[in-house]
Amino acid sequence: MKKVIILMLAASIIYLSPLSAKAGAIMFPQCKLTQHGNEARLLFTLHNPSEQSWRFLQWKTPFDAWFSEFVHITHQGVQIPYEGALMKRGEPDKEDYLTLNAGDNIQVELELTQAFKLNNGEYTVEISPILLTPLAESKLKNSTLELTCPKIQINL
Amino acid sequence: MSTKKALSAIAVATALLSGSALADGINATLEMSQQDYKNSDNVVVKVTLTNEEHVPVKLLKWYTAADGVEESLFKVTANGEKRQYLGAHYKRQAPTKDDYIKLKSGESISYDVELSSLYDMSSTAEYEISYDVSSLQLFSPNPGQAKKLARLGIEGIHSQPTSFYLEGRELKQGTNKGKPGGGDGGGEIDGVTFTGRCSNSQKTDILAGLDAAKEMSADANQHLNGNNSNSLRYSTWFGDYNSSRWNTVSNNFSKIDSALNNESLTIDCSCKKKYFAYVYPTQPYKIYMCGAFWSAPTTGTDSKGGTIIHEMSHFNVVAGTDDIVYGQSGAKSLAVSNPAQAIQNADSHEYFAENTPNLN
Repeated sequence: MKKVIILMLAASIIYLSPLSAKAGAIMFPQCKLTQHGNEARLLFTLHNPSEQSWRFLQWKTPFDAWFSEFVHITHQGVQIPYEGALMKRGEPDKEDYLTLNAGDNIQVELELTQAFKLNNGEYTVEISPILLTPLAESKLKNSTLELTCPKIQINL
Repeated sequence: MSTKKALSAIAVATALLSGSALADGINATLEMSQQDYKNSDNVVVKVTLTNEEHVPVKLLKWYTAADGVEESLFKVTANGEKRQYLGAHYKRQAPTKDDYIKLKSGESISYDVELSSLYDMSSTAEYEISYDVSSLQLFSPNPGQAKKLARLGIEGIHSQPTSFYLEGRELKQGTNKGKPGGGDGGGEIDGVTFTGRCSNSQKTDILAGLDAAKEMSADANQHLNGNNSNSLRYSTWFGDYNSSRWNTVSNNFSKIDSALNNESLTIDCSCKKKYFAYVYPTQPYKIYMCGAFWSAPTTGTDSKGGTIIHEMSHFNVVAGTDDIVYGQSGAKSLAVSNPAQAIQNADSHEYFAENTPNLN
């Protein structure tokens, strides 16, 4: 498990580099999907290089597998139907939010075959944008960041 | 009626007598607060285990209710006929020392166990229960006493039986009449199959919720058939009037209504999450009820009836709705900002059906 985290940190440097180059700029959280070999398994990474801590509602994010439809998969332009569950929830409370601390990296694995019927071939995988709000006492207060993860192509 | 009274009298006598059963060290007793139960009552028995040895005894937790019921702990009969245990059996590794609880000499532990979710209690009968566990590993093996403890473990722990009268639900004519429920749940009532250990009170709640849902869907249909393009009720939840969207909503509700009245539903009670309920849209017509469902009112906003409407709307063969936004305020905003999405949103259908406050 530790190994995976170290590897991901190494990988995160690569996708962060364009932003790090802008000296003095506020860096926002970033997210990334990576495929495990040629399996239908993805690693979702949320990285926060900024000095600002953020929080987000877990619902409809990779931390909510599979109780909402947050992954969208297409094969040759055709949508693969979602076969996971949909949960009725009411209003969120404190426990429904996750905190992304300054400098933190949080990850979760997604086993796509738990919610989609997939055969061999090439698929495009996209996840719904994640809405992050800064934790209190911030100059960014009252702003919401809509974080869109780059979609990825996977080969099975 | 006279039979029932006679049976109850026996139940009282038995309950008074249900004292100590010798189990070579651990004594088990059962206590029940009632001798008569209605079909909406949960059937709770208090199990007390007492160490009557002069030395401490370590008892395998799996055969107590220390962490909830994880094995069949009781022998249950209805009018003398054995009733199957419907609860979980866990496949496990060999027990470790953490799986044992220690009872000092003379020490007792007590647990309340709800029985109607664990055994089929759908039929009207005189039920008799006794604590009845045995396992080679029931007692933690002390050095030098392993053989003796294994033997005692196989002899097991047994209480005197206690009995009670339960007035079961009238089962509908036809399928499964009078038969015990299959698998893990507790039978079929009014065309509804229960799985996942639904207790008597949960079954009662579900049936009341279903009645409410049927009334709501009939009322929603009636409103939509009125074709009132000025409907405040419609525009509040689905946005500006447009005949194509109105027809979609109308079609959705007629399918919801038809499914509620004509399809066999399965309701599962095993979900321990704090939310209301969930479904797999590709797997009609099974609804999994979770924590918030049980405390919801029968009608009104986020009610049991409305939750069932919401869940039915998700099934792809019904209306194939999604959860685009959550909650009343979200649904109202969506109606204003994006009516095309509002007509695909499950909560919007639920709030339209609940119609609270009344916007007719």
